[in-house]
Amino acid sequence: MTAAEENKDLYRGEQWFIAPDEIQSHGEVKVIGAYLSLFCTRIEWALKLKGVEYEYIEEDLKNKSPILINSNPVHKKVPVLLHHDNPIVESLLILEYIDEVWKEKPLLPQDPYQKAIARFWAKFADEKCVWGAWGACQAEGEEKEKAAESAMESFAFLEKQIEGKMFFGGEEIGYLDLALGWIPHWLNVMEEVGDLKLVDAEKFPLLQEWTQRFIQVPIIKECLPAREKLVNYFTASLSYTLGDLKLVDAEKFPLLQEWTQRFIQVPIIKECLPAREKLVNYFTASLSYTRSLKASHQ
Amino acid sequence: MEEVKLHGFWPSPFSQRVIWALKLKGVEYEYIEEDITNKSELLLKYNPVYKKIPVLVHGGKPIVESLVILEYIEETWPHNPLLPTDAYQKAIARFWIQFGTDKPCFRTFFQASGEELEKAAKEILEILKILEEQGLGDKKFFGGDTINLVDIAHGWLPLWFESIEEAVGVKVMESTTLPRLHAWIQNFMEVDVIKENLPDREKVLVHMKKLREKFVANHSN
Repeated sequence: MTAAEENKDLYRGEQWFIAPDEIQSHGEVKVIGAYLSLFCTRIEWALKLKGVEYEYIEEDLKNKSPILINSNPVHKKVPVLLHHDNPIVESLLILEYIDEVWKEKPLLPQDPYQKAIARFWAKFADEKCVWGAWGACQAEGEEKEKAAESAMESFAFLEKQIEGKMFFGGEEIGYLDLALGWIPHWLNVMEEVGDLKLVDAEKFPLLQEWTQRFIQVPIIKECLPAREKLVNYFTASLSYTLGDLKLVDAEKFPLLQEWTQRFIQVPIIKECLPAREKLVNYFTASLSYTRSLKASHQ
Repeated sequence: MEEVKLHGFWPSPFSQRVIWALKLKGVEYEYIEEDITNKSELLLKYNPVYKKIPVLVHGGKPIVESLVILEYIEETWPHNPLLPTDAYQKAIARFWIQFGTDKPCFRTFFQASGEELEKAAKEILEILKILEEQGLGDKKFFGGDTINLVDIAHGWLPLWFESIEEAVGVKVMESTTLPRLHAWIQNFMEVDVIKENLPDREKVLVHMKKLREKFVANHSN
């Protein structure tokens, strides 16, 4: 019997329990993540704070591995925590699991009421702040103003929550700090790329001070992805949304599309192609330049 | 024992979840009916972020968001556990509690017409298929032999979602396409605590129909 078949019997056909054959069973704890993902860094912070050793597996989200698909068949997303090859998914749920299994340095408050409050704000921030901020970055004109206003209303709630505290967790960082830890680094880049300022010392002084304190904590600092790579990534995402058009595809021009596939496979053709990523960056920069020229002439 | 109060709205499946959990735990509470078309000062004070029910108030302290409230109840009154004690099983249960709840397609289904409605119905069917196959599997309840928080979280599918289906005029949950979920609904509605704590079905249907009329009128503008 293969490991997969064995597991299937054990868990009565619940597919997502099946341990993928490709994973070697050295190391109890594994994290499947994407280097730039703010949802994944949360998990690494939590494990490092608890002193848990883990193996990190980088996932190419444009070409999802069998390991990821087997571990998270429902959503096929990162992060995934594998503990004894058992997969746990959804970043906030993973934080709760980590806190329950490794009890030193608790992340969540012990008091049920305080715990409920922390859970509420983490959920709120993920729903309203992350997507609110990114939505505002992507929007243009009047829509951008409206989206920014709405996002700032959400941040205003967080400003109130940090009042009188060093960290959202109190004297030390906790679950909510990790859940909001995208603000100092990722939001900063989103704001630069999206050309707007949502959180600054003027609007939200207390939140701003928290971001400075948080980012200085050594364990936090060492897990941050390189700023430049984040800038490139968000810039590319932004233009993909803005550029966002398909001129030649299999539906509109099937014969032409087939030719592109044949042509690109010819070895001599293939070996002279410039790196796609560099092309994306180049066109992205050109797009922004043209846009800014247009804007300044209006 | 500190006072427990629940601010709810009679046709809301979200406040019903909390009622079921409190009853299963045998917790005595005072129920306060909120008119959501004319929200009380107290509600706005307790839930300034979303201004919604349900709100559980324990010893004067408010907890909001029904799923957060369910976890709070579980932790505060740990007898008759409604979540597995094993950390991994608990993580799985929490995954299924969250799965499919609050997906935009449900809202669209309720509000839209024509192609948009069709698309939403398809999405909902896919979600429920996954819930049935991977969440429920061969079990009688999501909680195994007895109901737990996962069952409670999806307990809006009978009666409430069924009323919405009727109001919209589109049936997604057929016994032929979702046999296991259909069986789960029959079993779930037979559980004493559930059976004894349901709003009037006819009244809920009337309420959903009124909402549907309003949505269709607004949506086309």
